[in-house]
Amino acid sequence: MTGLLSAVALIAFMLESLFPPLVIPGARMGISNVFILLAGVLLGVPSSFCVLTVKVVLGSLFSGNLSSIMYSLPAGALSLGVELLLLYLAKNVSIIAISVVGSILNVTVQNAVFCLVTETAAYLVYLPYLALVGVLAGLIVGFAVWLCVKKLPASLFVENDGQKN
Amino acid sequence: MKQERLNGLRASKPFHINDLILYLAVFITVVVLFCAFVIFPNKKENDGFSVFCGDEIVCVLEFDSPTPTVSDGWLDKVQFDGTHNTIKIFFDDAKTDYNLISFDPAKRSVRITESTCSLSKDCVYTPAITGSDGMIFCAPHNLRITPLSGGGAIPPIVG
Repeated sequence: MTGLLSAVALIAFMLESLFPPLVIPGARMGISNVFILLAGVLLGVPSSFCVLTVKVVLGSLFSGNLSSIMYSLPAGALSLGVELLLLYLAKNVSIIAISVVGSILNVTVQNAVFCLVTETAAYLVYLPYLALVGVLAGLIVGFAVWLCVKKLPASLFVENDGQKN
Repeated sequence: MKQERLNGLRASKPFHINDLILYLAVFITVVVLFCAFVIFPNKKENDGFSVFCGDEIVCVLEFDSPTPTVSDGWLDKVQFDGTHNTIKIFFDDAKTDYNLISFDPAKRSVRITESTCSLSKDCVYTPAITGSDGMIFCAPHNLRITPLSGGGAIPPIVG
């Protein structure tokens, strides 16, 4: 199941990279994050990080933009970590809200790492617009994950100790 | 994930009242970002731009001057076209790997219009620099375009 979600996340990432970015570079809907968050819900923490790593590393390799690993991996790991923390610890908070928070964190960290790497804060001027796109992306991704969690059969869900429900 | 939490997620609605706390935090963050980077900063006119490859200066162009000043090590890799207001920077000896920079002295703007960097070509889709802030960065080529500061700032020494 981890392999399947990794493959689908990678395909979604590659398809998205064929389209021009929304408004500014780095601004994408992040449809591949649906499968990463879904892995966190369905399969647990290690699998979700595995899907994230596969998507970022292989996606950067196949799109010919290896340098994007520097930005995407730490941002993705941090936002996924916070999303999973909220998912497992926060009661009565919807997946959609968690996804929005994760999305904002993702664009902020990517932008911050980018500024560190280029040794200039000039790119921070795009952060407000990226944050807006992040809110929209988070809403769409969160809604998609919520829908999948509701509609997918219960037999797919795995307990923390690896036993299927 | 525990059965109880799982059942809760599957039975959940798309919105809970507690979401308001998170949405409020997000809203405040976005407002603060807009205030800090868009609304309040003083924007100065762009006098020109500098092009860097890594830490190395490739060339500098001031909009009031007809030609760019190119670093010694880049003289055979930079192609300037004054008619179309473009600067082409090559990264290989075969001259197949390049970035094409277009500028408009009247609008005092600069952008990358063509590149052979990667599939996504983020540098081409970056908005033009029109003021004293902003930056265009091409990661695969490690190329960076930054504005010269407004108000009589000294441009970097080239050559």
